[in-house]
Amino acid sequence: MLPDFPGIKRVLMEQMAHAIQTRAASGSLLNSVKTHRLHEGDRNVVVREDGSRQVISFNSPLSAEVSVSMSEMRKDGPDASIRAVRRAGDALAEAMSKRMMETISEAAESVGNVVAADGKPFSLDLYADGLETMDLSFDASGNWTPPTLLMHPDLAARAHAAFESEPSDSPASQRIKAIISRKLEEHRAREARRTLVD
Amino acid sequence: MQEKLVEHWLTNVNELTYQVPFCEVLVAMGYDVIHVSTHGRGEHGKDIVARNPKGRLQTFQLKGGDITLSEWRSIRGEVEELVQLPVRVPGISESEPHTPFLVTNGEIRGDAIESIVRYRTRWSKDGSPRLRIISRRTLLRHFLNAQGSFMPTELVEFRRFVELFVADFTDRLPREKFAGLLEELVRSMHTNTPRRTQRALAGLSIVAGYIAEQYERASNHIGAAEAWTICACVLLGEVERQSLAAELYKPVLDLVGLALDRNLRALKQEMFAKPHFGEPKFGLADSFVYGARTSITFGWLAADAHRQWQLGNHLADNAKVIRVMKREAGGIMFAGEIDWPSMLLLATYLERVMDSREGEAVLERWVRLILGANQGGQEGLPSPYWTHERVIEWTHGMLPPRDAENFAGHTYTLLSALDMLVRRMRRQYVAHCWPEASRLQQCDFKPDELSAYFQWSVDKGEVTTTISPREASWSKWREGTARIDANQIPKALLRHPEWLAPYLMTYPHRANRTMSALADALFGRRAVELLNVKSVNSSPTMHSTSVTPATDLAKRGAAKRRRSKE
Repeated sequence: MLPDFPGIKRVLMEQMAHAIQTRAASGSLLNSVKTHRLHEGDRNVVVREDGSRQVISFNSPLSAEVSVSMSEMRKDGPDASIRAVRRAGDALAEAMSKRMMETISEAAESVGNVVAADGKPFSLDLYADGLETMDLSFDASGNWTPPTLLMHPDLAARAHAAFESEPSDSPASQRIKAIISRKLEEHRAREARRTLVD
Repeated sequence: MQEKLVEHWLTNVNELTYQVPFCEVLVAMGYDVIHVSTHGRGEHGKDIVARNPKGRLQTFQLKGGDITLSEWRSIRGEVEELVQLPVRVPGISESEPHTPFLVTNGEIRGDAIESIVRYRTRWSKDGSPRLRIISRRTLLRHFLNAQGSFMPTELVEFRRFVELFVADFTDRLPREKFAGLLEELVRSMHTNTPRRTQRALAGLSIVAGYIAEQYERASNHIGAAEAWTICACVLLGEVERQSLAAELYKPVLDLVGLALDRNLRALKQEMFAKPHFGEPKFGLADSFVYGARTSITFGWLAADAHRQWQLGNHLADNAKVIRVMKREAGGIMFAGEIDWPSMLLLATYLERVMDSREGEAVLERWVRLILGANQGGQEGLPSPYWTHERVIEWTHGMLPPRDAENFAGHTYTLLSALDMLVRRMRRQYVAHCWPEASRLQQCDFKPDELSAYFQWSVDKGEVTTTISPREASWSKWREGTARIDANQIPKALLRHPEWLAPYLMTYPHRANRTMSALADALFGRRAVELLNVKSVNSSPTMHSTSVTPATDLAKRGAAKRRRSKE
């Protein structure tokens, strides 16, 4: 073999692996979700408040393959590897977002948290229909944390315009305020049930 | 290369620290070890009493280093006792003849040879048995033969062994690496007969001893204790996996237990003698680690007590231990959930030697710690998978950012602590904590195979993440904490509860809810129903056993002789 530097390369590989993970997470929907590392085992079982269980198996991990050609390496040196890291991160980000959407859709379908637009354009009423189906998040002071909306960029532009143009005293706006107020009361009632009973 | 390593080790051991490895060599050779002196020189000069494979009684006195003429003169009296006095061990008749052996890891030098020969001849003429000598060359050959195929030969494993062999023995034992090595070695164990199995287990312990003994030599008592505990746990893992009969593994396990107990005794002796817990090496930096040292030490003190109680031994020094704990309690600092076993064992220890309030105070403190670490957007408490070393390194910026982990909102040990308070009828306190506690996700890991409980890291197993119901029922909780399913606990651990406390201290990430419940049942002496107990091949006791290793060894030897006569 020719002279090598495996000690240095090992450290660099660890750094690049971390960079891929960071780029993948920041480029995907998961960036807004807190993560928790599991150190052992081949599956995670989530047991919900209602006792239902969901098994998440680790036997289909996401992966991305990248390569660096010898000619790239000769021509660009370390930049070749750095570009490969970016490509891997972007590929993983896409795969992670896709997996997340599939998982969320599956979960929503299973509990019936689905609102069919039936081809209608985005509107605040449609948005309000969605809010009706879900538990809303509030902080300790009772301030509402709006849900994250995932949509196509074209639809996002139209949705943004719809939100901006809607008067605050319109029926749709009033409906949303009423929903939030009711959901806050439901939230408070749920939180008040954090008790130890007989 | 292997021979050089073992020879180097043998050259540097002292008579106390090679005692247990030498016993393991005897077991590997087919001996039945009947008695091992655990406190200094054995009675009548006999450190070890054993029967050879033919059933003949042999006695051993161990020495460290070369025996020169002046050394011989100073030890001659003890050797004379070895030769001339009968064996005085329960179960053995004083009239039974024995063959005495003087064993040294050094050489007999100069005029000592002639003097020993003369005295040996005189003693023989007087009717005493003839003294045999085992010096370094023979001893080395015995060790090399006994370790068998257990010295790692594959390059990766051999490198790992060498790294462990030349580590800084004043530092913390790299437990994951050491456990990984022994687990790999035991996987290569090919045994198709009981005799080979016993020999293999003894061989594994000998190789483990090459590392463990060096921590003991460095007076790193907890490092040595952890090493011997890991050795025991790897053995117990095989016991569980293969459902091994006690007669195959217990001689080896008992010897490992002797080594563990010796180190824990030494820990206490050092602790009583010191006015503080400081360590002078790199003294200015000691404040960064003092708190973790205190937590670990408290845990092992409690573990030792629980182990001795499980063995049926009485402890006379609890008052001294409590005095030291009171002096040092202010310096305790918790690294993370890795400290849960320390707190569990400490709580049940204080309950027993002081009163229940003291024990409950420890549990309450633990609950407050976890809840506090998760309030107001804080980072949470590091999981039990983060060792003390890692937490200290992380806290002081010694780890790269990529090693960061998010602990907020999750806990592995809160429910175990609350379970203990529920068993103690602390309803008001639990009710007060519940609103905050129910906001955390409770994590619990169980391996698929019970034998995997004794592995450091497990691929096949289930992490359960529970989102607690907002409303909890006190009566259902009481009912749930009053039962343990024996099918979820390794039978080897139920059969050997004296290993539970050291196991939890050494493998803190194994202190899941079930194991914590078992510990509370055994050490907290809480009334707990053990379900599916018929599947356990021994009496399902939740209370202390009444057999000490030495007594057990003597009784077992007597039983074996009776059977061979029959």
